[in-house]
Amino acid sequence: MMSLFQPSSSWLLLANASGPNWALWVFAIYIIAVLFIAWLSSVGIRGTSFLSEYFLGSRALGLWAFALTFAATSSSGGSFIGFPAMVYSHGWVVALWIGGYMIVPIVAMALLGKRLNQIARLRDSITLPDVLRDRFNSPRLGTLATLLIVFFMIFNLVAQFKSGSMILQSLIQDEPLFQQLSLWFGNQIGGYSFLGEAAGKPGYLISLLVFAVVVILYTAYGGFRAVVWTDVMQGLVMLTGVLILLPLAIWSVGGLDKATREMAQMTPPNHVRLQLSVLEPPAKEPLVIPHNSWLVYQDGAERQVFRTKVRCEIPIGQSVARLGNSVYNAESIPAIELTYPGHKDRQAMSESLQAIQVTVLAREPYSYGADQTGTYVFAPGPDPNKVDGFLPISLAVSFFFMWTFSTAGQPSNMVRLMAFSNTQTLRRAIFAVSIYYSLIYFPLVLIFCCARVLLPGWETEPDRIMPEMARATSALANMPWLAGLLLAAPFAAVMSTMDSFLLMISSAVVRDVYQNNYNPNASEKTIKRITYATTFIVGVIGMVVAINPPTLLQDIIIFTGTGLSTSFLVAMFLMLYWPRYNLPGVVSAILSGFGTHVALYAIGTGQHPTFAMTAYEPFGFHPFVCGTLVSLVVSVCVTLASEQPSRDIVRRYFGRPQQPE
Amino acid sequence: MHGQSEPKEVAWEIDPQFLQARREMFVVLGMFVASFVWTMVVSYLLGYRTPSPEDAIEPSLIWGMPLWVFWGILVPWMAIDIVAIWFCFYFMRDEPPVCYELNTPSGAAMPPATIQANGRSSIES
Repeated sequence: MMSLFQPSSSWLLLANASGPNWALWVFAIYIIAVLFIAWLSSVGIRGTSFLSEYFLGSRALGLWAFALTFAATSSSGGSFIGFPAMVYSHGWVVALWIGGYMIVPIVAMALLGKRLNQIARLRDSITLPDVLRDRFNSPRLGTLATLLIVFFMIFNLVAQFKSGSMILQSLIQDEPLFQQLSLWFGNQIGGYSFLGEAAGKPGYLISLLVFAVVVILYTAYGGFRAVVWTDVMQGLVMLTGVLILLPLAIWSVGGLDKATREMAQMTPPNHVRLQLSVLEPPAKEPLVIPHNSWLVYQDGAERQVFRTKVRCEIPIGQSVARLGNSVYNAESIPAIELTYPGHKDRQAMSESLQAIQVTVLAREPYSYGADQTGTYVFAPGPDPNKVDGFLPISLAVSFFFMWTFSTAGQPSNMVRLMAFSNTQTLRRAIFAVSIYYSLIYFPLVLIFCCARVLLPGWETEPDRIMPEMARATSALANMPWLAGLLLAAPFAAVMSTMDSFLLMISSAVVRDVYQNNYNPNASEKTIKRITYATTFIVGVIGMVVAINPPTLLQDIIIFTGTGLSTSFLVAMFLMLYWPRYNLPGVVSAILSGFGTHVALYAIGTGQHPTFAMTAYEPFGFHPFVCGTLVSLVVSVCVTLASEQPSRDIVRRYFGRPQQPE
Repeated sequence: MHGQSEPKEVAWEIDPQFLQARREMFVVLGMFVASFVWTMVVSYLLGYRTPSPEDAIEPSLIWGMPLWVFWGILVPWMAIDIVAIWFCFYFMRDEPPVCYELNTPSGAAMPPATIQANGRSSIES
């Protein structure tokens, strides 16, 4: 009997008795390809100036390398996990939420690209702090920039390690080999107390170890060039995944028109708490009710359909289901209740759960959109918690600004702008990335609107909708191997983001801390050794922290991601285009942007009833928007109020280069 | 904006590459504003309303997507891709590569000592 309740906790149920596990094969091929690329790149390192090669690929990126590394770095795991979940939960309005991406490539690459590349070449600057230090002739400014980058990036590195490992784990956890391995590993590490809670999650630990070792190895060994070329592969994998999934999804629901019409009739589910009981207590073994179990009841014409959010069980000799013994309110089981008749009629209950009786203890309809047909096709979209709906217009404005300008302000993106080979490459790449994003982000909205029609009830665990959709559509199309390929996309997205973060931190440490402050005259050989070692050590530190990651990690990612842009965007922009800009101006831009961002988060967190990490949003505008405005105003005022920059600097950066004497 | 930094002893001109880059920057900002206004205004007018019962029975769709998504998001998105052709292939200009080795001696205004203070010379050879 127990086998019937095999929890669907895996993302993928690809592994069946007969067929091979395609996900595992995809993963293996992937790893081999990535390591091969790293080896190729390390061959390229020989014979050129080491640091410039290792951290910037000798500024020789051609069209495809530059375009795809830019595109892949800015789409992280969120694009393929969190974003689909959002489309699924809130409907068509998410097209407006992501709408800013229509202009992201042009703003993020063309706003700063040409000038930044010119100025970086002028003094052979390799890192972002390098550029700032040289432009204003101020080592202290370089140090400030380095500190900020390292501070924000370390958090992000840990977060990417964690999500990468979780994706990997879900890919391979049904593989018997992996299950045996994690059982064995769990026994081996049982006695080590320093692992803390993680000792109970051997599957996660193995995935983390494999993922981290691969990424650290290829990044440390191959440097920027390896990162770029793996990005190219990963970017292509993402694009292929979306382009295959799109027609498959539309075909599965019988056309987009049909899907949207059905969405227009849907009403959001209710969040409920249930008491689950049986008349005859189980005698031999506890009755397990896995999470995502359907419970269906017909009472005359009235049909009630519930789906559990968590696993619970009815212990031997008892009649009421419990979450666990130590849990507060253990007999109140969280679940959702479907309200849309079209979906209710389709569900069937597993036979083994037929005996279970349901009492609804509490029912929480959506704060916006409950019982409202059409809410999934109009703005602001249904939302379980926010009374104004998912995306009030002020938030839509904020996000449009935020996507475009925070992508432009990301140091990991700016570094790529320093690495393209010539302006012809830049021009073509802007166009290529525009097309690339059009083919990724808008189709993702279509795909997961179809998912909303095809797969009801995933409000229980929306983050699983991408893998579930990949599985469902490939099964419908009778091509199970496709799911393996489709799932490589989120994995690729995480990998391509985190390798560049790793390299950013390591370049900051080697170039800006070691070389500029401790040993300016270090030999090439020393620098080389220190660079390899630093990349390796930074990676290992990130991995060790990710063993027991902080619980608020998801919030921290959002905080750090926009924090970097808030600190740097105005400073970089004015530095490139305003000859009058001076050192006090740039320092005040960085500090006021950073300060506003941190302050808004501090106020928001302080006001939150449970001190969850949230931002205070004046007039509904995101901290990035506020911080950037403050940074701009403060910086311009400070610059005008302080001394003019030296004529030498102005002439050097803004004067015609060849001076006829 | 540049008048006050005009040196008295050495005559110098503003770099035309800088002026061109700045012109392109203003066009980029213009494109941002245009796409922003279009998307927000159209989406707000067509998309932000409490749906009526008729909307559920006979929603207005174009190519299977809600009317407001089509006009407010897909159309400007496609429009920008087309404008990007003009911007990337007809408007943006190619520049000769900047070469710092050639530039350093001619931009003699920067004293050599400053360059060495940055600790660069050792690795550039």
